[in-house]
Amino acid sequence: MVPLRVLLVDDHHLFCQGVKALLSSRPNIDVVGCAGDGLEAIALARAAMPDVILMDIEMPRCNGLEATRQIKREFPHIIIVVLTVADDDDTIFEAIKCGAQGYLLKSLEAYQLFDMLEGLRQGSAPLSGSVAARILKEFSDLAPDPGEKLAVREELSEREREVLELIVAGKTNKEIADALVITENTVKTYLGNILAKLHLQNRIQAAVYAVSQGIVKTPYPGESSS
Amino acid sequence: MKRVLLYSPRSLFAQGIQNLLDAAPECQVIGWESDLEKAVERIQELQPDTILVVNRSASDSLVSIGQRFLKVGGNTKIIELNLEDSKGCVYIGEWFVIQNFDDLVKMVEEPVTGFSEKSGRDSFTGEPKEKKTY
Repeated sequence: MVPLRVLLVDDHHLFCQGVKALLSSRPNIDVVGCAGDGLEAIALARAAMPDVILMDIEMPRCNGLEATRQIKREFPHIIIVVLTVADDDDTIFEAIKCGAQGYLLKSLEAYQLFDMLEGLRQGSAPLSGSVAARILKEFSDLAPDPGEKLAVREELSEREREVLELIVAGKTNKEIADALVITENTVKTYLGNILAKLHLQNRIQAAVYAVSQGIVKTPYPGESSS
Repeated sequence: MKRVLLYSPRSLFAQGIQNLLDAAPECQVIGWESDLEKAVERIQELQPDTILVVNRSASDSLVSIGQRFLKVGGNTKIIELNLEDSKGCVYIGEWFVIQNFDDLVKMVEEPVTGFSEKSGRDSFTGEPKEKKTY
């Protein structure tokens, strides 16, 4: 298996060293660099071309949100996962809007980070549990009346809508493929079509959009789905 | 070799610190507790040289916990780290017998151990300090 190339971005030097030591001990992960601020992150992204960037938010000179925006503009294929202490709604939603494809809180345990990074290979979106629940609940409250969403729904095919429902349910590409009895490559094709039609960048944005527009009902616990 | 006890939830940061300490020849991690009462028991039992505390936030108060640790830990040192910034705070427990008021005055006059002097860096900025010349 090709090692996952990871760039760490954090101005907390000891935190960075500790995470680097943990990730470097994993056989399928290569830490390709550590940046102390957003500007350094952009420079190292250009030089090292990582697969994944673990990005802090509060940093001097250039914060993680701005760095995410710039790196995604220049290198849309690089996956950026926010790793931060900030768990407020504004920061979470702003990070997603900037193009972050995951949002993890620094209070998570090492094995959770390893699992999340491994899940990236299967196309899942790393979200700390509380963050995921908050995103879905927030946008489920904004779901419009059924009549208003008809025009958007018609843009997606029936199959694309099925794929989107499973994305909202947090399924990986493999799980979606198994559920719909199709190949993973076909799932990726559907996902690409969905993102293109909705002008979105990643599956998190697709899930949030789907719930906010009422295309898919939220699977938020306590609500009945129909 | 200094014997270090970790007191912290099992967070990524704390696990990273443990990983680094395990590789440092000067240090030996002798235990890790995330429960306060169990930590107090282990400190009494093991008498570590240093207790390393990892908080989530710089504003998390360690005072009452630190007092308990220092009382049972003997001549121990507590180093407090947090997830928000790169600052560490040191609490030192040194026990003295006070036989008279002069002993107390000496304790008051005794300077705080100058970690910044030894490291050559400013305590708050981390920048290298200029050496004083006379």
